[in-house]
Amino acid sequence: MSLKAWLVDLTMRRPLWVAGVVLALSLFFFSQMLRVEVYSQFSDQYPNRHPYVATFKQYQEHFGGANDIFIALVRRQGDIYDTEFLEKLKRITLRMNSAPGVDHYRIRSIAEKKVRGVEIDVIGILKAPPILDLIPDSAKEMAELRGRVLNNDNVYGVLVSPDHKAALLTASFIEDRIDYAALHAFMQQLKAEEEDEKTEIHITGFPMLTGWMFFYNSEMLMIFAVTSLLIGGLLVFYFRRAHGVLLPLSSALLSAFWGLGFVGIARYNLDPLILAIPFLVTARTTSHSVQLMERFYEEYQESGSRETAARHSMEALFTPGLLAVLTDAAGILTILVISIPLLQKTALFCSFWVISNIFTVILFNPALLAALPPPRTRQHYVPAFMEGILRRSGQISTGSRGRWAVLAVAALMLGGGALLSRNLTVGDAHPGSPILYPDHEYNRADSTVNELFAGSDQFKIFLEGDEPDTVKRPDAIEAIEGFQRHMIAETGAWPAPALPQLVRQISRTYHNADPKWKVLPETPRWVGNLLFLFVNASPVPGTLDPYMSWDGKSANMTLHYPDHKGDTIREVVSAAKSYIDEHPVEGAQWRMAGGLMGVLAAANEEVLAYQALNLVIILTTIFLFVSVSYRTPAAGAILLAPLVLAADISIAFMSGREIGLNVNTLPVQAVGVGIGVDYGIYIIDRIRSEFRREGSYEAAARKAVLTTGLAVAFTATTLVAGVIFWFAMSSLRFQAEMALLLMVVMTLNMLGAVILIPALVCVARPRYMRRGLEEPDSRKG
Amino acid sequence: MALCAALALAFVSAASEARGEADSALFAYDDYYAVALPADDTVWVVGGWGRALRSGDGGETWELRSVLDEPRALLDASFGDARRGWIVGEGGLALRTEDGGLSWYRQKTPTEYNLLAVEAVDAERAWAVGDRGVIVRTRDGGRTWLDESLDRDAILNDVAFTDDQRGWIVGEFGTVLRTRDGGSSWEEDVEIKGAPEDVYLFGAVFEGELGFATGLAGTLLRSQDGGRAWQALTSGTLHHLFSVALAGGESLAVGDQASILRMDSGGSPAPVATPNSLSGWLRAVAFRGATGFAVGSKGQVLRSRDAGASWQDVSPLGRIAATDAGEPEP
Repeated sequence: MSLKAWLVDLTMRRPLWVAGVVLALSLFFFSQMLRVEVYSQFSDQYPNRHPYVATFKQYQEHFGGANDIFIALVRRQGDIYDTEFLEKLKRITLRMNSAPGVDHYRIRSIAEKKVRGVEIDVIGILKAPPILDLIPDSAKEMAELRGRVLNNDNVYGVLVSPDHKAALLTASFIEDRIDYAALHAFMQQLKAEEEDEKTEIHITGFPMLTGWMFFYNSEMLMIFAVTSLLIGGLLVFYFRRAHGVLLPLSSALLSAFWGLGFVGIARYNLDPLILAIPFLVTARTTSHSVQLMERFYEEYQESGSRETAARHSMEALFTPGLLAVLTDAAGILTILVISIPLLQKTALFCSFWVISNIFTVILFNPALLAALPPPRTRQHYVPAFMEGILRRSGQISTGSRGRWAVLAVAALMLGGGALLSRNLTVGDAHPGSPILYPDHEYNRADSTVNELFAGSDQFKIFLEGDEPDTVKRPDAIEAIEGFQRHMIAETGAWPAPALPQLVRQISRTYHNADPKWKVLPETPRWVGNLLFLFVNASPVPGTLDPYMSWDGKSANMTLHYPDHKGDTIREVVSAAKSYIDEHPVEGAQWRMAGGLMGVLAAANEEVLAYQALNLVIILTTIFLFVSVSYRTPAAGAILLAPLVLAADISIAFMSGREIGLNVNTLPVQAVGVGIGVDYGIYIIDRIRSEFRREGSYEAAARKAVLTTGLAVAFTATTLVAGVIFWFAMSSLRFQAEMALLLMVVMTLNMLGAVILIPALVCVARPRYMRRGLEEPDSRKG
Repeated sequence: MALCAALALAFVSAASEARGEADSALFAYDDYYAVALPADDTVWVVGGWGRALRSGDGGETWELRSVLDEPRALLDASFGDARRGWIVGEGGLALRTEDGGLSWYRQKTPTEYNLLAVEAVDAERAWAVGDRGVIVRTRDGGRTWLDESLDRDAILNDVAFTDDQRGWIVGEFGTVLRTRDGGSSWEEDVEIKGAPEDVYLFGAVFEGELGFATGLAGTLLRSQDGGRAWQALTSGTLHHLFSVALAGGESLAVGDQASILRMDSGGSPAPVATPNSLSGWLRAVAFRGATGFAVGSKGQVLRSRDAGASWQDVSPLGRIAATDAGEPEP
């Protein structure tokens, strides 16, 4: 006895046992689900194997990571040289010390004591006084403060805007100590308390962005609830029976327990940014279940027996169902090729979630059908308008001219899509954060900060010597400066003052402030002496930290940019690479890259390198699965057509709506495409089995469209309708865009299965469909 | 599958970016140390990182000139006539042109210390001074530079000649050297009133017996006897004054925190209004008739056409003419 026959037999004879085992397992996963935490982790979003990430991690502790918050205090009238304003700035600078997860050594504003100038007094003693020590209380002292600001390259244009109307406070956070929700609450409270009629406060930076996403978590839950209610309502409308509503919903729920339970067991975090994927998976569970229900009602109408209908539908759908589930799971698993932890975790738990459908749908649903009371009416309710539409579309796509028209339209879409796809951006397509709407408080703050100051997006390059004191060599310092100038000329960078500027500034100060002495000393020893003078002149430790490591082995070069769009990052990386190629430094290496832009560069490169590969693997896997199962490449080839179309159009859609392909959007697109295969599998399986009865491809296809196709069309429209609310209600632009993308992908999957596959079958006339017909005959004969 | 792969690749073919030359962005980060005016409407500005700029139309447009193939600082420039002149700089550097700056070549000097100032007496004769008492001179257009350095460690910041006989050198520790015989002998006795005897002096300018010198912390000195006796003037500022120039009857001093002072022959200095955007420092000022230029940090070049009474920003940023000369690659 085959496995299939044994399982069908077991389920039909002991339905309560089978259902009980599935429920017990689900309960176990439910218990594990309870410890799942929903949060984002920065380290999840970058590719571990990328060399930039290794550099980032190595230097993160010394030269700062990518978790910086920027607070701009903007005067509505007048300039910052105002006692009340400076007191506010000083107070906020102090208050930032109690922000959750803050790195106390990396808070900077003109009111912070580590922010210092270099001066020489009348008797020739070098001093590094803080820019703002005591709040000035006379006009003369205010004017002196203004002078100190104007003449300090670390301050003017960086911590004070060029028009003197705004001051900036930057704070770095320690990656594994950030509680984003608490941080967001802290910052919003600070803003509410300190913003007044004289001063605007704008807060931007990656931790703040993540904080905002947490802020919208409850909204997401609400939207999910509305979506579930809507889907339940549509199920009622479609089936008009208790089974048809309860079974798909309970399967979806149980599968969610399995998937999320896996997250709990593996001790993953659930990132709110990938919530679209679980939704897609749930959509598949519903789809499988609806197929089964549809078939059950069909069989029940025919036989009038609960047991026969349950057995027949389980038998009929066992093979395509199992194949569809396994193919979906394999498709999701292929995301593993991209070494970004967020994606790998997603691939693992979502493919497990899909696999769970074997239990929660393929076994559980027939068991319940066999055990529950039969439907009260034998007549299978079919919404007449849907049936009408499908009958017409079935006639067109199987018609002798219609089928060619369908193929022609598909070919046109494919070509047009490929053409549009060329504008796709890898990385972010817009300044600010694409996760939020352009007019969101965060994005407005981001553009304010970038307009007024040097730019809040940072790209860091490090010069790493083989020996201590390498970066004190004049040729090394000159190379850093050459690099800065190259990046200014090629990419419009605003370089933060680095070792060359510091050494030149100290040299100038040491020579009676004559600008002509902004020369680099001729020996490492003299560089060391100048740095020693500077360190000795400042009473607080860590003044050299932003510039070089304590042993003089490595130096930091930070470049500021106004955005971290994919195009900007690529331009920056390519300009940096060309300088590195042409300007090797003896006994030292240039190491890329730190800062948010460095990490994003790595993630974008990883996405770019592997997204094509990922797609090829998904399609190959599906092709192999299907071809092996039906023992013919024809089945695989026919099924691939709608997938290629969906992949093509979804990329074109992203390109047209200027949604960048990044860590967050790639899985939605990839999973959405791969997961659509199950519609096709159900349809093509039905065509094959109908072929035995109908005897012609055309008639078999029309019949399949009216039965299985109806269930496909219903599931797809239900899910599309479900995410409309997502699109309409979400405050997160990302979620809204992903909802749109899901709608596009699911619609395409449906059209591919219901229209394109029947047309393809009628044109290709695959011989394997006859096999089932001929074999029994030959055995009988 | 080939189709799929090709499609997949087509999806990700990102638009290749080509960014044009953005050299002008650099001017906002350049330091300019000196300005020379070899002819009417011809302006030379030199500065850090081997930067040299020329304007042939009085500062309306600028062109970047390649004078050196390494990023050394160019610290001063002076022309003996419209075609022949010198640029000096970091590490004993001396550059010579004989074709109005179309081409420059390097000359050997007897020092490796920084040369901070150069003064062309005429087309063939010049003096240059610098760190650690360095004084060098040439009488043959720079084919040979002779070492006439002081025997002491004092930074010499400026050298000025009013004709081939009379010259002055100023520098650290209140140093003022005077010659009346074309440099055969130098007199050192000075008397400074109203300022420390060892005041650090940055620049000097003379016309006949009248001279001005500038120095640390707002120091502004005037001499009416050819540089022997000096009287401090009340400059009203504590910013360092780096350079001083004469414009007819007026004199102009520039310095730190973008300050410009103007004084009449009576010697009462007053600050002059500068363009609002000005920040940083101004290192040099030079006049030819009533038209003069001041240059400094952040790529700033200012121009006055009324003997220093008012100034306009003519910084090369955004005023670059099509350059055929190219830029010295670092």
